[in-house]
Amino acid sequence: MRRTKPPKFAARILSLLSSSKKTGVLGDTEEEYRMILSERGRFKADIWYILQIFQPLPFFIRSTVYWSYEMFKNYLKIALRNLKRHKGYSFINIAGLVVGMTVCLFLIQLIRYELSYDGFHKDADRIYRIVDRSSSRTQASLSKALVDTFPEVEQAGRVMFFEGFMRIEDVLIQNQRIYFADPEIMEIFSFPPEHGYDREALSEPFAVLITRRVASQYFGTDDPVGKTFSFVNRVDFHVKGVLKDIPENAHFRFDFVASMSTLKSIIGQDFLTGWGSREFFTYFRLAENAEPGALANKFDVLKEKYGLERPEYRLQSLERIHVGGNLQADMDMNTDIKYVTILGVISVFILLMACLNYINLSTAQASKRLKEIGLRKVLGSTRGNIIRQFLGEALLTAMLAMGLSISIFFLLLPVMNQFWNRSLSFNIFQDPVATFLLFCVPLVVGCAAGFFPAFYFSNLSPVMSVRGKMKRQGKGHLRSGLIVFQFVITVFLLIGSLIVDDQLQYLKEESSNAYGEPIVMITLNDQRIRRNHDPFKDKLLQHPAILEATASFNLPYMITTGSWCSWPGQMEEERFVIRHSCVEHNFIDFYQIGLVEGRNFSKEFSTDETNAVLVNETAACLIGREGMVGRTVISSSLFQNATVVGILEDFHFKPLHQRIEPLALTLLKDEGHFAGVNYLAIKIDPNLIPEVLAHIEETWQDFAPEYPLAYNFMDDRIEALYRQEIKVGEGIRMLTVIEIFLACLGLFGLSLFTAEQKTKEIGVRKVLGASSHGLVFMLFRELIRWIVFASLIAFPVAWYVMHIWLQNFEYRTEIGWTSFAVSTLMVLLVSMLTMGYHLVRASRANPVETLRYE
Amino acid sequence: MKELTKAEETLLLAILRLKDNAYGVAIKQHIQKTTGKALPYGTLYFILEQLAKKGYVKRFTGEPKPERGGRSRIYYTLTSEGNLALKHAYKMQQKIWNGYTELTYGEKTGR
Repeated sequence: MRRTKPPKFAARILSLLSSSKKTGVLGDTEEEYRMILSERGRFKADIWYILQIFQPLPFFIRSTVYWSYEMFKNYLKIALRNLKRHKGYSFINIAGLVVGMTVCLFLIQLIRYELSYDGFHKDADRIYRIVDRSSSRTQASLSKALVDTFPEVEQAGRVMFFEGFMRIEDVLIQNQRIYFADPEIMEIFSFPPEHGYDREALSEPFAVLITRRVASQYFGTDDPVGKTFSFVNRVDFHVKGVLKDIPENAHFRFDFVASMSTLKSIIGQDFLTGWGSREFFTYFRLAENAEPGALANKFDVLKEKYGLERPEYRLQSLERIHVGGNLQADMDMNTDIKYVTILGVISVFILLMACLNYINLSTAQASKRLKEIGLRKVLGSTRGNIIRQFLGEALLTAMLAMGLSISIFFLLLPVMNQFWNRSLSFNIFQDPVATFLLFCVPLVVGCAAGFFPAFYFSNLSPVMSVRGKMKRQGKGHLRSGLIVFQFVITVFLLIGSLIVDDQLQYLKEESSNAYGEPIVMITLNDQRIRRNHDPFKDKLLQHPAILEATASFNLPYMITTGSWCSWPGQMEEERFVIRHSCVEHNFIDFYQIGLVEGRNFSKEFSTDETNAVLVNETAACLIGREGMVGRTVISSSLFQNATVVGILEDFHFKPLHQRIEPLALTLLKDEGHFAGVNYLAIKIDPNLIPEVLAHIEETWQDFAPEYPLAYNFMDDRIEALYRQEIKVGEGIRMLTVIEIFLACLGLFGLSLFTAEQKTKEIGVRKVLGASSHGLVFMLFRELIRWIVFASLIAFPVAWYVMHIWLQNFEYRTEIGWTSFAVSTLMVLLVSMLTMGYHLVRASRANPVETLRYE
Repeated sequence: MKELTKAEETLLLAILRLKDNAYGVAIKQHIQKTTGKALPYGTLYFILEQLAKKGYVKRFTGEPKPERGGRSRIYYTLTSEGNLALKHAYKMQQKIWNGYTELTYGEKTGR
């Protein structure tokens, strides 16, 4: 039988589309379908019927789009009107969000930047560096041993920093970073070449690669290949090629990289092989699919094969070198990603704070919008409409805030870059993550801030809200909860930043300021001065403002050279590594290091020059305290059979992160690998610094005109040791201030609201005889309760977190109760001041005025 | 009394003409015949609903018919208000159009 019914699927759709079953649309279409069927055939009838589905479409679209557009216009208008009408609240909301977002953007960009280090190398995920437990440098033969021993190591190479300078004809190159590298290094890394460079370039001696910056600065447009640089006035390097400038986010950045084999003619063949001194950065590339963890477990093989005493090697993946924290004598100032993350977490807290302010203020303001919501509901708004409206308002606020915070971000970018010494950027058009952030941050923030108010408002009963009344129960708890939470964060951050400050203060006091006068450290990089520094020193001391001078092998706060210590009658298990340095007679007086026992070096004893040694208390304890003075000790590389003449107080000759180790001091000798003079420290009159510096420069010119003078103030150098802690401390302090500001903003808005809400209550109380003081106290009582409660929560958390942070330091301050008490009092004081204005005004108002508003 | 729109006018007149047979398909076809325009059912029923709301037309449900898939026809008739509204509209139209032919004729001769 032939089908007389219209196509089923079309009928189904049509029945869904036709709004009311009462109308005869379905019946009519089917009737007409049959007419067409009988007159013009099935095909045309079917087509006609299907087309009927689309008939109502234009109308449908027009009505929905039109109405949603109209409602959107209305929502937008109301939202903007509210923003405008309640300027104070809007300011608090937007300012809070702007601050929070800006801080977050900075931290996100900073963290991303820190993690982007060295990512540009082609095989970045397969390149590793081998480091010792505490030092970034390893032995000369390690790289060759790796390739020989482990088949999964594809290529290994060494980089070395050698103090020196380049000259081209008579011009001294400024700001130069000169490294020496094995030819393999250029194959392990992929530094992009500018031109004329082949991967074998560094295989022959006296070859150097330069960067574009150097090339264009010293050769302009000329081809630099084949040109000559002279190094420390002793050897000539020929330029073999030019590399593109090394990106800023690389830990290994250089201006010159010269062939390692050249060092043979500068220091000698022995230096480049063997397992003696640790001077080299060792990099290698692992074969694909090889497991780095498995390799690290096999390092004991090296120990047996080469007879090494203590290989405490570990691997650093290339991309994590920069964020892995600082090791001794590394190429660059690294960051500890932990610290940056701490700042990131704080900034998220700040953003959260801004959201909480928004939630608090908009629900507090609810009474003002009750009628609007009631009316909307009466006129047919669904719950969804109201939710959408308030979420939309929060999103709008968040968008406005984002717009502002982007502009502030760009304004502050140079300042922040200078502060962190980084080159952050925010390229909305080229960086997809930045674009994503741009939309995502306001979306998340808008939802977080708007979620609660939206559900809160949509839940109100229309009858009650049109009357302008709210159910009183329940919501008070939530607001108190939010405020207490804010106080917890505030108190916590305050305690944290106070303790960080304490620790930094402690570091500073322990490691430097004891010396009184400023100390200038001159690096003696000229061989002639090194060999014969006395005339130079005497000439310097002729200046009346130069008070004292002492020369040494190491910097007194960075003594890293060491060797095995032994003594007659030593047991095998008593062996330990002793740090040692060579100094002049007046070293311990100069740095005000006390003697516990025995005597200082003295010129009266001629034997002191060759076999006297001073040890510190730690060393004395390890060797056996009794009768130390006069005993004989031996160091495997510095002294044979030296006699202990005195025991020194322990002093910090390394950063305070590390425990004080045993130390031995001997007098400077003219020859020997570890015995020469490297640094000259001079104490100067603080009032005549410019004159003294000029004098030093002049004297240097007389003695070593062809060498550049290099000097630092000791305080600056010590500060550099703790630069990361200092920066993080400053960052935390800054964020804490911002956070307190936000908390105060929120509190200020809330107090405005409380004062308004309680106007009537205050009026009635006053009429019944309450005093202004009593009322202020009543209003503050709640605040005090919040803060006390918040402190109780924050104290243990803060104590625990700070305790863990302090574990990073071998020497640290105590966590005193003062920082806890001070934080709570400070929060109390600041919040009372913030709320005070409104509350005091409300409580002093004339009851006649306040009661009349009804 | 609010003025009728052109579409309402057309529909009311169609219902008047179709007398007892004024239901969806018939109205639609009638309008197509007289005006040459195909009115979609959506629009048709929308206007009919409006007219019913204003009280110009009344709805009657007929017997279920097999050719409509077992659904009933819905018939419409004019109420007295509907008639009044039409009359009113007619008078208005007359006033508006009064003397149109003479005017156009005059124009033509004047040229």
